[in-house]
Amino acid sequence: MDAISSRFMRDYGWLLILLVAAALVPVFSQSNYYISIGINALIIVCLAVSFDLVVGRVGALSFAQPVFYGFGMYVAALLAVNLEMGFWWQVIAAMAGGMLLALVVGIPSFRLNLHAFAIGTLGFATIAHLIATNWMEVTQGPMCVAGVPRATIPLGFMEIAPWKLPQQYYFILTIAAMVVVASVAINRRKLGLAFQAVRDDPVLAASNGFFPTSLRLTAFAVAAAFSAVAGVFAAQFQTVVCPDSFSTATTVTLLIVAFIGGRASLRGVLTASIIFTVLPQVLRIADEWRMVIFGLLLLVIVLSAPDGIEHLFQRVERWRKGRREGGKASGVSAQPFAADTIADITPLGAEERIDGGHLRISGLSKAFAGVKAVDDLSLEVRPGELVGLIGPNGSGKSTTLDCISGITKPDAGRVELDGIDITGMSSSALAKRGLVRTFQSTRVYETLTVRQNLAVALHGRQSIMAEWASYLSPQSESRSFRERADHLIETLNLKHVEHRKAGELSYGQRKLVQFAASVISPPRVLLLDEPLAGVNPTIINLFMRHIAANHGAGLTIILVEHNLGVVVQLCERLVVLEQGRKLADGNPHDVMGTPSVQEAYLGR
Amino acid sequence: MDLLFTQLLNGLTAGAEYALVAAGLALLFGILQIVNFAHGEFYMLAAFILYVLLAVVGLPYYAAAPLTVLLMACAGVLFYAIVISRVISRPWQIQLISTLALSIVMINLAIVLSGPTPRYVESPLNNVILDLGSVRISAQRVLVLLGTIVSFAALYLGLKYTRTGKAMRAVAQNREAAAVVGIGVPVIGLVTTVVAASFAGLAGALIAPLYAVGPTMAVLVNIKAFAAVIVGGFGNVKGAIVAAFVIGLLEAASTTLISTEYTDAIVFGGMILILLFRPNGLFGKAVRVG
Repeated sequence: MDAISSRFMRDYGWLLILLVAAALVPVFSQSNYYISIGINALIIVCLAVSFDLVVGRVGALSFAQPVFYGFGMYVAALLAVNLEMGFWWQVIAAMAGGMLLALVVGIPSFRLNLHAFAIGTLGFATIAHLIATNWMEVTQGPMCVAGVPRATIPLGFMEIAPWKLPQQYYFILTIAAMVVVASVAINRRKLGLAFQAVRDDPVLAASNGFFPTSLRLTAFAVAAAFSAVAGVFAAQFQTVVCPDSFSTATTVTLLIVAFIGGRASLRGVLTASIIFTVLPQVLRIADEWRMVIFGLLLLVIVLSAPDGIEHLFQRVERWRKGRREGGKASGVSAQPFAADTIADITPLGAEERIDGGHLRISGLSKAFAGVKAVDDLSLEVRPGELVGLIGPNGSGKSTTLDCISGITKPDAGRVELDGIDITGMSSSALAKRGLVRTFQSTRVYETLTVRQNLAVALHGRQSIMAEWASYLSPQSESRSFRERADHLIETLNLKHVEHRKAGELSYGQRKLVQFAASVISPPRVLLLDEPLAGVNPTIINLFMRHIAANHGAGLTIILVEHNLGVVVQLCERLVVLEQGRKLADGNPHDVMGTPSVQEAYLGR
Repeated sequence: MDLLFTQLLNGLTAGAEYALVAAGLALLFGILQIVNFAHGEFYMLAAFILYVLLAVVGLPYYAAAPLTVLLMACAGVLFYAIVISRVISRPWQIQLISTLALSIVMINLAIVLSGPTPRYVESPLNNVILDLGSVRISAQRVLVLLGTIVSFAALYLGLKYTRTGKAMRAVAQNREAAAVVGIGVPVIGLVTTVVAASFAGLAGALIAPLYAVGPTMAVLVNIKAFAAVIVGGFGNVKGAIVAAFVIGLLEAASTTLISTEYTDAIVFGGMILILLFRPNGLFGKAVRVG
């Protein structure tokens, strides 16, 4: 119990202190002036925390956040003025409408790459501003919706009187605290890990079975709802709603707060929101100079310290830690590796057999700008078979894997898994069916630890229902995951780095992590794209034993590899590609003896 | 007939404005993979430089216009040294935010220094009206169209035939490979930035006399130039130029046929529609991943 409460204090103590400090502001401030500065700061906190959910956590730079805030303001103002609706109805309408708007904007925009997404959201913000300015009948354009009644906010046990600023202050403080808690909660649940995975590498996330767009949309819609609620409150507080509520000034403030605070850092974002809303007011800096100074600050910060305030926090932490440990060396010493200590390598779920999938490819073709990478390729891989796919560079091996695994759409041809046509299915959907691949350009989630990489991969491979149902469960490891992960980490010699971030690992270790993630949930078909390229003999040995073990358990495997010695030793069947066509297919000995293969490979 | 011709001319002029800005954006994106949010503000800066040279220094237009382009080329050198060279190998969000920050600084500095009231730049060609039978056209507009055509032809030939142009295209295709074969990537970055800034300078020198000059004059232009770059297929310079003219003509058409207020909304709506069906733009190629 004591341990739990001290951990709680370590994780949330600073938030509690901040909350208490914020709660004391009205007590110590003599004039309403400071209270209204505080209210504005808290509105920005709500917006910045939700903005960071999109920009920091899922890594999509959006300029649309102020639109949802403005939308909330207009919804509140129009409902209050025209329909005399109460505060809570306004909140419900703004949240629902904001989420719907986020889906309408997000679904087309997230089809684009993230550069274009950023510019697309900027276009959307411009359209929103134009509509607010020009749709006179509804928004009254530049004349603004004036005279928004300050609603009394019924809370059940009491009512918030609109004319009492301290009460308003405490109300928005409650909303801001709720937004912060929600953000912390998302981060601590499995959803937070999935967001981080999508931000680190959407292609890998898709091949783990996640639908990156759905996750980004979730973040976008949740952020929109938060911002809309802040807008509803702001409408009561300001009583006038103008098109300028969409203005770039809000966007700029949010960008500054997110980048100076440090993306995906709650403490940084909170600190920056408070500094950048309170300071200019207290120092009474003129508006236009404020923007110049903000812009310069943003430029300097981005150019010199991209992690912003978060960077300072981390330095302080390291310094304190260093003092506590009294200069104890903290580096992880390289662990000497003895291959012979690994007695047996059994695949995951060792005892059960894997029900290997049956892959049939017919007439597969894919061209890039006229160059035929794969040309009318037909290939059948029976359940439990281990097929080596070899060929010179550029012979179409990786493109074949890309077409099978849903990374690229083939121009023609058909891919079947157990008799079901899977041509053109997304890699996310295929991963859920048990068709998993690794990448030649090794992909891992760089900001996640080795164990988290495995946990995320396992999570994504579940059915859609199970995946979404467990997003709000805590990140603690289940027993079955722990067993699987421990086994893989142990046998792949990753024990000493299991809590390190994958981005800090060596090339060979990343390859091992990528492989472990691909088999953490037993696949039915595994496509390995040059797992052995550029790794040392010890790791080659590890890989060979793991591949053989999985093969022995019944997994269907296609192994693309240049290391012919390994391929011939492991595979019972070899397929040779040249210029996208099948040159030979058969047992390794016969295939390597074929004159055309020798010519293609050895250039005779 | 007259109205149609006038609107066509308006569309072409606006198209030239967007195209001159979009060409620089597409060059920076295509060759250096940098999204330059401050590019519109370069156009604004050029317009102010022209204004200062004409109204304050008192140079004649024929001297002030080329000098504007030259000064903008120098601004390009500064831009490369201060921003681009520092962010060129950083993540794209950093690049984007740094140029956005620069744009914010430039706009607000302009507001502080000159006030929000628009200024007008006088060109002698504004008052020379060419009479072409049933239609009349100001000589400045003719200069805009001619200047645009000539500069794009020069860009095309330069990229295609000069050694520097070839090196620029090589860097666009693969920066590492270009560096390995001995192309000085920083030099190419500098040249690209200077060319892009000069095009913004040309936009200011040619077009400022037609419109009002003010701190926020380029905000919408920049977003439309972005639309052109996106629709034209990310970094495809030719595609961006064509798309810019299409946008200009589309605007003129929707101003005449539908409404003035929603012209911009129609343009961005069109951009979003196109991207729905062609996520890589009209002239873009699908990119290989994995």
